[in-house]
Amino acid sequence: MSARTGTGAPTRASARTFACVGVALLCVAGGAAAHVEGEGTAGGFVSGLLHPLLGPDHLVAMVAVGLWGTFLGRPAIWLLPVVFPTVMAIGGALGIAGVALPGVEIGIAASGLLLGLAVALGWAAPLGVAAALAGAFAIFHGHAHGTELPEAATPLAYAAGFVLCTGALHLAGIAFGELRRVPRGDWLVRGAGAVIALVGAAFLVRAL
Amino acid sequence: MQSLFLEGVLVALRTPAALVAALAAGALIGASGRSAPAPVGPLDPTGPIGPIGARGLAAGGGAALAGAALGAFVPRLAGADALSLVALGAALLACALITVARAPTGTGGAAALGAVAAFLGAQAALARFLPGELPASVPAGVAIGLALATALPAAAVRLARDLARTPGPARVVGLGTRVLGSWIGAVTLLLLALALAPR
Repeated sequence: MSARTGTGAPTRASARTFACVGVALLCVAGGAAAHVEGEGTAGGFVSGLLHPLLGPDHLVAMVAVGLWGTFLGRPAIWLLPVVFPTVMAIGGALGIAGVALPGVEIGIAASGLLLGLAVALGWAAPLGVAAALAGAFAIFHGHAHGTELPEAATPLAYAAGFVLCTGALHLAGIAFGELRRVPRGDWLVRGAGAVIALVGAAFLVRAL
Repeated sequence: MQSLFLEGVLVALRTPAALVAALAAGALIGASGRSAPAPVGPLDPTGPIGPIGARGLAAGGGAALAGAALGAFVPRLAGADALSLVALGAALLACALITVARAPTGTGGAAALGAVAAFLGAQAALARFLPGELPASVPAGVAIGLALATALPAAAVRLARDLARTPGPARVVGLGTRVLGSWIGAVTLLLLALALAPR
């Protein structure tokens, strides 16, 4: 990985802070909590909307995709939010069809760890590599959503809810990543990547 | 009479295949064709939509309305499930064109796809009623509901394109349309998978 020099670098004290946060997250990390069901169209939409939000393992990976896009620049900054939901839908289709995918939880946790590391290190990966990596991880996230979709009362509302939320999380990541333009912003964004990596590591430990 | 008409509108909007096909076709119609001529001098957001854009939008919207009306009033075709699948396939194609195509699709192609999607969507929506005679107000409601679902995204995308004719904002609108197209495509793909999943 080639780390791009930012406007500020994390200090040793900040590294200690990240380590403490990571240990704390490891203590509180549970299984994915994204299982809120409701009734009717509103319930289906809200359930879909909350699914990525209430599962920290999903949430951090999706935000990390947006953050990473700000390091990669154009066209990746808008291509990744296209690739991830699209390939996630393919993963969802596999889940709906009942195709077994081994290590889904491990894949989801690993996505948080590796995407967080990519942000923390400012890895300027080639576009194809970045898209392939994001797409590969999206399969696992989509499969997890897809296995729950057939049980949703209103599949259209549920699917629209979680695709919209996924996209919104990417956009939130991009918006936060824009902080790199201000002094010390690069430090903040890389720090967020480090926290995401720690959350992913915590889930990975649980999954293994 | 009025309640049956409204029921037709609501059924059109509550039939996933019909709604998604209409939305996708509308977004494609809005994104297709040439933009209005670039303004000379400062951008005037209150200015009229350019004649080329308005013509393309009218052609696309008209084709979608005609397709929806035809689908609503002709006798229902056999195999409603298969028709829903084809409607979702048309929606997926529209989303792929929005997302992947570097150059805007021609207005004629978008209008044709919109008409087909609206026709199939109307048939899929009407399949939710029991076979037999339906009062004319129900298919009329279905046709109007689908026409609205097509026209709104078409008008929104077209308006955004025509208001953002300077390079920076126009680029943002273009990219935003492609990202939105991919998201509608992702939902469509999931609905297609659900429709095809073994029960």
